[in-house]
Amino acid sequence: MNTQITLTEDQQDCLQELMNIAYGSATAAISSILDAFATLSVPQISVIDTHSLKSHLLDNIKVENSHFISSQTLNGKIAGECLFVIGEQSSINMAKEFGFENDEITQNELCDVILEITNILSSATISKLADEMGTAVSFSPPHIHILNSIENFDNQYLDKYQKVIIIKTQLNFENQNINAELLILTTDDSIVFIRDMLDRIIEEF
Amino acid sequence: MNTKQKFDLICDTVDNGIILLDQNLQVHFWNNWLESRTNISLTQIKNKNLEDFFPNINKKTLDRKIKTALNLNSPTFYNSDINHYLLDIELNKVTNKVFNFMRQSVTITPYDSNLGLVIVYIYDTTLLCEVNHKLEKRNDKLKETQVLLEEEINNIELLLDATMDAMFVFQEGFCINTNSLGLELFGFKNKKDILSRKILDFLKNNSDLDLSHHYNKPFEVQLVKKDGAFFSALIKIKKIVLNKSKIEIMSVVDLSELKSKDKLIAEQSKLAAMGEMIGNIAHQWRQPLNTISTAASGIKLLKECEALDEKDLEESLEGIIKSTKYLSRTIDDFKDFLQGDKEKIKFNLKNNIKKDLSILEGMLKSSHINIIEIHETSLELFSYDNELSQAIINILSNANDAFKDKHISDKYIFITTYIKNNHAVIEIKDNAGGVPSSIINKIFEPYFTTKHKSLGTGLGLYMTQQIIKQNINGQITVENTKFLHNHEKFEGACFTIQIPL
Repeated sequence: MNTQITLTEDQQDCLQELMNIAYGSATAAISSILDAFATLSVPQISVIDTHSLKSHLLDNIKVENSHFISSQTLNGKIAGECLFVIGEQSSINMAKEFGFENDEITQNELCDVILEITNILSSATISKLADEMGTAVSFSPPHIHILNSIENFDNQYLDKYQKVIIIKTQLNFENQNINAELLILTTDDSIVFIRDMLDRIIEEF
Repeated sequence: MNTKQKFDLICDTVDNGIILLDQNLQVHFWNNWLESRTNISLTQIKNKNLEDFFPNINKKTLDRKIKTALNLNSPTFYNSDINHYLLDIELNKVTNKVFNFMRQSVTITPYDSNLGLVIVYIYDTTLLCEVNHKLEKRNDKLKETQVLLEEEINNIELLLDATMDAMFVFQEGFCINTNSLGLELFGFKNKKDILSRKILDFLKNNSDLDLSHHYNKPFEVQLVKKDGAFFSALIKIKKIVLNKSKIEIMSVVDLSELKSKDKLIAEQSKLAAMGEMIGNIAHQWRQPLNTISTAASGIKLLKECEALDEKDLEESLEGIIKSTKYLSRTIDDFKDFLQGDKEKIKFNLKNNIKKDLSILEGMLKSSHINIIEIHETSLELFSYDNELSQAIINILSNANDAFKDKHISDKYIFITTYIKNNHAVIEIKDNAGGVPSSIINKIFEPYFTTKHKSLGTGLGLYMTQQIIKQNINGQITVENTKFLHNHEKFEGACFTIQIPL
């Protein structure tokens, strides 16, 4: 395993720029699908040790007590997982954004909406990022968990990886009070790939 | 095989449904998998609207997913856990049917965004969902059982807390539960603190104790509190097998209070015994002191009369020396008696009784009691010499007291020793008339006395029993008996001490 899994300041800057572009396209996609103006905050990028992932999530995700976590596996050169974390009230507001009336919103509908938005966000951002890096990503169907605390977040295979790149952003809708976090976690091999690609892009400029 | 044939072959053999669909839900292609499962042929459905065949379809969701897929140029999904299915396809399964309609996982992939075409892949996930469904049912049942179990546990806890004893439950040797009394007794605050402790961890200096000898019967031990302090307790361990695991239930009764009471009684009894001893000493010393006094006065008188010869002086001095030696010996006897024993020694039973009688000599003589000893054999005991003396002296003093109340001309105490069933037996029998049957069962109880307050403490026979049972590990019983002696009929109490050899 590569022991030098870190990103230099240049590489991090470059990734930040690529993510800005990718998030811009995701925002456009959401706006056109939902006919609502959404914004994604400037993504924050960090590379952390896998064993501190849980505490990182605990510290960084500010959601109400009960929240939904949906995850979607990314396959290809950029492999890993997209995590979308949203509180209950925000998800209800989001369902309204999807055209549901109050009495139509059931737990299943909420889950469907969350899965949909996860898919939209991860597809739009990662596809764009992959495109910039001259590769493609295949998406597995997203899954959803209802968590009462991050402590319940279970990943017994976490030890397989040394580092994860965390790309964190906040999704806001103009007319609705919706707060959610999108995290993109990538695996060791992907970090190496991303790093090499970043180097190539940096050279080209 | 041309491309069209290859395409048809793949579409007809793949194990999932494929629909080529446009934004208006018009079907352009429908593969063999769907034909066989819906009984709708491609020719029937081609260029028709999907809704015409499946009126229950959730159009709003499907529209949205198609629109998203086309817009994103990336697939969208139906999750069988949440959406259950896209098309209501009745299952052909006959047995063990859990769902009426096939559960489906669906992927909608953009095909041509200009023409608004998407490919809908339908996967049959019924089997997986069935397993999930069964799991959920099991889970519900488990939760129900859990609730029942928790109630049961609460009941047990209530029961445990309601008992007067401290209780501990051990599973496979490790503590798994206790009651509030148990926590309190050992000075623990939280149940967590005692979990996974072993029985021996509660015992003082007993790491090599073999508990298997102690199951089901109470035994006395020193226990250790959390802070390291010791206390005496009676514990009983019951062993049971529950669901193939070894369970031990230990009940603990704190004896410290009882022990301190015992200690108090022993001290009182010792004081009482000392009081009695001073009486005995007075009795015993009067005679030799008289002898000394007489001899000394005699010498003085003879000297004054100038009639003192060598022989008289020699005899008188000899008498004084003999008497003082006797006095000195009695002091040793009393001292031994009052000190008690530190360890077991080997001693002769007959000699022990002789010594006891010599201590009481003064008392017995002044009461005119005849002692008749019958020793069937020479008996060597390995026990506490002085403790046994104390017990025998107590019984003899008690007999002496019994004679005081009654007017019996010929007073006898018979002391018989013999071996029976590998036990040394000492019988002490008097002819003082016996113990009234109404109180005979109570005479070994502490503070029980028939005597006037100034005479008895009510501790003599209780202490005697304690000594025989606890220290000497023997038994003492009492009964009334009738017997003949010198052709005369007598009636009295008979105390029997049995000491294992």
